[in-house]
Amino acid sequence: MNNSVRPDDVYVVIPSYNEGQVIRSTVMPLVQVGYKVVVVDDCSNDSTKQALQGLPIYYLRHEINLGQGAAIQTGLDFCAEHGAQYAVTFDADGQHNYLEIPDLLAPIVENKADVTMGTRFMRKEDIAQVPASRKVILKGAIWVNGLFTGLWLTDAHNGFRAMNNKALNAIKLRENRMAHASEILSNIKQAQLRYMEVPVKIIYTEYSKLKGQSSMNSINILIDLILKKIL
Amino acid sequence: MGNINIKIILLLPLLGLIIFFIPRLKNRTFYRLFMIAVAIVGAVFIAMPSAADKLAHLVGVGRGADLVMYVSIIFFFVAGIILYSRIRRIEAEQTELVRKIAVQRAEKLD
Repeated sequence: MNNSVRPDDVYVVIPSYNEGQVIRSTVMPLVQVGYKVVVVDDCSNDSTKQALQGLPIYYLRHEINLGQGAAIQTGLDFCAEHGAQYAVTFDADGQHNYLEIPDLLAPIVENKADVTMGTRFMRKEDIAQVPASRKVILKGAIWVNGLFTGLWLTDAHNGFRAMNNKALNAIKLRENRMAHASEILSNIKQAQLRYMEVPVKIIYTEYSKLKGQSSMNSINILIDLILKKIL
Repeated sequence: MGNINIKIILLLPLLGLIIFFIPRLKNRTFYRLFMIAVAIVGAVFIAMPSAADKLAHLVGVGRGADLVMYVSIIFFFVAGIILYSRIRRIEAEQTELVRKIAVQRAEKLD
């Protein structure tokens, strides 16, 4: 690590819904580095909890399935309550590389940003990894997010983010489902947080492709966003 | 005869609305008064279709039945929006509750 962040100052929030098959291999390396891991189990009906037994982590469970946005916010609330200096959001399905957490934290630690967001569209080799159908959807999402929030990023739906204490207290997600990715941008804008994108590599496994959102769901996200604007 | 039958078929649910459901909607005065008004207007129009026709002509609609349909489309649309926003609010409250419980019951595994 090129800076002075101590791993135990960093809370890694992992929203998880029926990821029992992979959650342990996602969490294990984070624990080994010494990060504080907060798994928010969004009412999974699989063996998520058993899979985590024996790992020194915080386990939170929603009694009702609420959606990924809600699970992230629960994790962030927990971090804020514990006075976390830094929080990272991390996908449960193994899409993200834990070795890149310091890269995301670096601009924050150097006090150049309050929030950093991973992007798979900054480096040629990362772009090449994105399946073609995903590319179209994500490009569309970038436009939608830009138009709705005025923040033009290169990647619209990347769950890999880092933030400092100030951002932690400013981000309040009320969209329980997937529209939270746009809502975070609105929060950032309203609270005038300094933000930065950091290139990350998304690991597309067969599992994550299968578990990831269907392209059709992007239409639901769009409708959620429009309803939020007009109602 | 057919005329009377359709009147009964239409009137019964409105009577049911007044007798059974409104007493159960406690403490929502405005909402209850509104429902009573809808039921009464509905009953009047069923009993005297010509009244609906007259009102329709007054606002430039051909038939009373058409006027009733136009008004009900708007009515259902508004009702849909009101219900949607109410569901959103309930969802937000439910989320707060579930979140509080999750944070309170956070377990430290090891």
